[in-house]
Amino acid sequence: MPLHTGLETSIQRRRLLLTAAGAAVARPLTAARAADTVELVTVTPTLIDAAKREGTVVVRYSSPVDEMTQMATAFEARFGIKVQVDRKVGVVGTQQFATEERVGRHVMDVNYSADPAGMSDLAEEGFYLRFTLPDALPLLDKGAYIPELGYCPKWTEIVISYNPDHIPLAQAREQFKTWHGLLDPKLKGKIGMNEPAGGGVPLATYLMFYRLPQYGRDFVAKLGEQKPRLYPGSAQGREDLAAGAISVYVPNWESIAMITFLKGDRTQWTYPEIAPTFANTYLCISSHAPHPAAARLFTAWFFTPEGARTMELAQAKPTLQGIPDERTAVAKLKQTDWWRPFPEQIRWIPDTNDWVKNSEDLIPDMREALGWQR
Amino acid sequence: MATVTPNLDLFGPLPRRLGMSVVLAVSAALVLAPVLAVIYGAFRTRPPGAPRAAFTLAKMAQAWGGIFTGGWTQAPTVNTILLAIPVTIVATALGVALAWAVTRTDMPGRRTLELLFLVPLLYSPLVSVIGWTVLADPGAGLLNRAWAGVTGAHAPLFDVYSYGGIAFVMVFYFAPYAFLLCAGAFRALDSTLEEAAAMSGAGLLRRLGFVTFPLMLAGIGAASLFIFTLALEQFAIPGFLGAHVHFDTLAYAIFERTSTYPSDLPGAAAAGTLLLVLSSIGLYAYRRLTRHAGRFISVTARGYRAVPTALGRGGMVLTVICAALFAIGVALPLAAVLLRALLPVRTASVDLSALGFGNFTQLFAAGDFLLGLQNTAWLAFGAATICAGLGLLIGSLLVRRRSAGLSALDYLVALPIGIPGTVFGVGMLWAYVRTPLYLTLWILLLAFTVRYLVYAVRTVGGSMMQIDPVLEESAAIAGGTPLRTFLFVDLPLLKPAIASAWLLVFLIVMREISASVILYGADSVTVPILTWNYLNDGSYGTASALAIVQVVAVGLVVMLLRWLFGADIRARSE
Amino acid sequence: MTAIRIAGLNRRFGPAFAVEGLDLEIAAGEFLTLLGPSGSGKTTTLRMLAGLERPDSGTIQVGGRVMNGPGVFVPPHKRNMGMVFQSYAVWPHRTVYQNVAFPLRVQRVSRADEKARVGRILDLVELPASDFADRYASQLSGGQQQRVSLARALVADPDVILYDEPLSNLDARLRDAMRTLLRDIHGRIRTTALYVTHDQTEAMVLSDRVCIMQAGRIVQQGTPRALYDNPSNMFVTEFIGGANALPIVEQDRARQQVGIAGGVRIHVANWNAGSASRLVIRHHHVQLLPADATACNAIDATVRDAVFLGDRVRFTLQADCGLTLIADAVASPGLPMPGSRIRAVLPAALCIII
Repeated sequence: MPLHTGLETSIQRRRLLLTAAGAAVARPLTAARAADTVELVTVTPTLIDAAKREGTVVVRYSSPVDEMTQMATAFEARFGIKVQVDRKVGVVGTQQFATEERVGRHVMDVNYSADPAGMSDLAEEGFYLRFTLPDALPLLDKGAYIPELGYCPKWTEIVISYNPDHIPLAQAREQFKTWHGLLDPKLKGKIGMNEPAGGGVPLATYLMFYRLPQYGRDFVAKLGEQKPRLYPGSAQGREDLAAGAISVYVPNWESIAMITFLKGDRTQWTYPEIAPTFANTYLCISSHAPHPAAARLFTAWFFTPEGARTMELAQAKPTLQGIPDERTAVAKLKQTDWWRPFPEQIRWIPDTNDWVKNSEDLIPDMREALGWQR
Repeated sequence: MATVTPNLDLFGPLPRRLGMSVVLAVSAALVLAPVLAVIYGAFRTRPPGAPRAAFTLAKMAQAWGGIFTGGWTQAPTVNTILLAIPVTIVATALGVALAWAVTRTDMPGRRTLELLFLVPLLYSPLVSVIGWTVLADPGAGLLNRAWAGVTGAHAPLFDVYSYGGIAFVMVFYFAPYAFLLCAGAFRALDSTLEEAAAMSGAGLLRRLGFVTFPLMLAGIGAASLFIFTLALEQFAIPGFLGAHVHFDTLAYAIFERTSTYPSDLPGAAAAGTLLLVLSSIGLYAYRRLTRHAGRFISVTARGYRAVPTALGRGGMVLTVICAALFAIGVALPLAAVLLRALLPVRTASVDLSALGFGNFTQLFAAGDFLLGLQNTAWLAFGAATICAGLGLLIGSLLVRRRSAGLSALDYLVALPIGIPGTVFGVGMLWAYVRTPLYLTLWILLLAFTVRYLVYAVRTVGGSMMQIDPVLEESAAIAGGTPLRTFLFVDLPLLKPAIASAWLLVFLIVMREISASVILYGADSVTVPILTWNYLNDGSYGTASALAIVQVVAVGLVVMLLRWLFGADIRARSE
Repeated sequence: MTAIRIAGLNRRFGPAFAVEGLDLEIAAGEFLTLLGPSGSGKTTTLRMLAGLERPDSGTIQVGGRVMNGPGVFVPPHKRNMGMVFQSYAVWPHRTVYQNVAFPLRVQRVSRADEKARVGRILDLVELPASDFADRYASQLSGGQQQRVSLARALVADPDVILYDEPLSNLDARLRDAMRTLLRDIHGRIRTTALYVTHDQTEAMVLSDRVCIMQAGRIVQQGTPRALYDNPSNMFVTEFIGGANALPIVEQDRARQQVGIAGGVRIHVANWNAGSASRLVIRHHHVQLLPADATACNAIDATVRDAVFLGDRVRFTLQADCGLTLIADAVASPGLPMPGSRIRAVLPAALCIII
């Protein structure tokens, strides 16, 4: 249910605009900020030594359990620093952090959060460190971070997943060359979709429909007439697709599809002519981190080639450029007759300003277009 | 009977009485803290402690007024009531009927069935959800597929994603509570009351209608109140199953307010007070129903024989019905969960060669599996023990002494279960974030103790009412100090009630999710939290494996306890 | 006319027989009591007659109708019997009226008729409807509850009325009053009744006939008087009335004489027992004569103790031959004092050989 898996953000509110796009505007409003400086965080022997002396880093995260377990284990093995993880998805995590900070309880070091909007709110109260990653920044796409606040180490790439027992490969490739293929009358009642408020993944996708002239609100309304199953979260959708309860599931994303593929899932996916690619979970550092050096090391390490390669072990696609794709799933998928690498030219990167400014009004409208009444 | 013996001071000299008062006052304060935090939060523009937070009536007005003006609480409130009332009635009826069959008849196989019916107490509602999703998805559910295969019908046999489906799953999940709470009372019912009706010429149904069930009214009322409260705050079952048919309940809507941006904790708290009032209405109805408690007390001090009603050939029919109910309501979904645990991915048709223990291997390899297991066991033992102890103290004082403070405490302890778990968790967070308890196992222990204390108080108090004060007086006359009298006379008599209370709290804590989600920290992860996280990740297989491990582990603990202490799952609640 | 015929009735609980090979006939209108200690099988017998317990074998017929027999079992609610329970079994959640009217409701008697009959029966048990009809059982005393139970058992004119130790939960004074009430009522209605008790007084006051039960069997039956005068064994003797039982050390059937301890020989008038192990004489049949009196069947003794019981005095006598005897005498002036020497006479006609 709730369905927000960690990979789906709930960027919904316009405050993000203040810190993300217009950080410079927002800053003067925040009295809590002592100095108008941005800290440069790089992995240096001094930082490593200091972090090792602290011995521990406390991480509150939204991302999938397995991925975080992989990262934490590798980090511990590499530096001998214990990683205490505490999974609080999205808003639950940011709200808990806020409650703590407001009474001066400094518990958390790093927030790996899928609630960038909430993060931005709390940044105004001065709870998050203003920092940048000078070593990684040249190798990061602009869509992969919120300047001076949070940095996303992996891409979320939207795909169309289908059950090959219902739709054969050749037909699927042909039918889903564009999203219009979803309007096939034969698919009525056979489509599974995430509802618009169900996190960043569906929001990015519906936003794309709204903003592209060839789709528009009309297209979303027609999707609604297909009587899709609307899920609050994505886990149920993948489960239903594998079981054959539905024939198509959108929007799925490739790295999670790869994980289920490795488990033996026989469902397949294909790429339409255009699909959202975006940053979903951001690493932020608490201004009052009880283990400041370890917090900085942990965050920066994700954006080193070593950290990026570790991320690939969990089938995630690093945002850090120049890392060869060595994901085990990719190696296996290459041996299948149906998989093709993600075509880079189809990337649609959402305009953060548009998203943050309009989503609060758009979500009810998207729901209405889909016929979602709760 | 609730006879008061004012001249017999239960706990002796002044210093000790003072000590008792302190214990009671501290209990009251601990119970009130999160409740007051929630109420305070409901009147704030932003969460307590946030900058620019101010007093407001807006949140309460939205939550309460919204019911009538089409606000965000309207549909969920209507749905909640539409779901909770029928579920309570049917689940109670089913549980009571089964309890009757097992305790009052000579139905063959009743001892085995009694244990089987209690199995759902061992697992979390998520197990029901996984099981029924696998079985009764309208298109892909194994049952519906088989049905379509046999009959060629296109319409599903049973669609779990519907109002009826949700209610069905909830009924079977909650019926064991009615069973648990009524079986003891049924056992204590004097058989001659039924025999007198038989000798008056009344057949079985007439006897049940005229004597047995009316006499059980207090017990049945208590059970339905209990189930009503649970059904009001249950969000996993309607949340998972109702989502894509747009069936939204209040507990779920509240959960959404706490877990999606922009989070609205004050709004969630305000809606929490709505549920509190709904459950208080239930409590009030129950008190009115049972206000002539004396008429319902049928357990006399004199000896009697519990003679089962002879059913003759009908007994076998009843056995078949009970076994079928167990098979449909418990065995089937549990088998589906086991199947899911053995499957790496869910597939349309079950390929037996794909079955394996991969999910279990993955589960056991996970670093926090053992930690979660250890924490959960520790919390369940701890909360059950403290609740049983405090329940003994408060429950027995409530029956034997009468004071304004104690009566107030009687009502206070019922408040925390009226608030949905998520909001209660937020209240605990607000109340304790400054203390060293925060983010440790201790805050979870405190939360569970405060929340479930009421069960122990009621169970022990109910049992204490049945002890004739004369027994205490005779011990006092024999020279026993009040405390010694209590230990010597009452404690042994209360033992079954204490064991029941302990077990009830133990079982509930073993699968608490909603408050834990808010309160747990890195070192205080629990088994239900792990299940929750696996489910949200889409790791249904691992979540199912964990559920199976939990059912087996808790089942073993319960068997061990029965063997060690003769502690029975048979409750003797009021 | 025989109302009830029970033949070859057996009931086991585990390996032990609760009732073993029981045969019993009860005449129409007869008041029959099963008297025995707890565990003697009397309640089990009654419950089998009621249909509340199933026999392992044997037949029960009531008014010619087979209630229990091979392949036949009539459930209790179809036997048309009334029953009064030891625990009263008055429904605590119903009023007196509702309790008593219930059997009529089941029979679909008209409301007017119901009201009249309940009123009559409440009068009969001395609980006037005007005062009691609307009270709940929890507001009644034990004695009143038992009257409700009685009224409920009688109201529908049952073929048989069963009493399961109905007075044993009442205090002594109430028990007396209820006993008298029951006797009066039965004198009037003459319904066939089976009464189970362990109290010999109840049995004697109420019964036309008494069956003494021991270990699942009837050991002796007869009118109360016959049982008292001619108990067939020690068990019956002890259970009804109590008596002195003196071991017999030698017997002389020809002369109708037995020898007891110390060479004392006692003449007995009736000698019908097969074996002769004990000489039995009721306490009040022992006559006390002065030490110098001459008499047959006399035993020399010293008064060890004398207890004043109101209507009589109970003496404990230490006989010279070593035996201890108990003798009851009507309280009157001039009775011997403790320590005095007397002669205890056992009249030949009153001696029983067992």
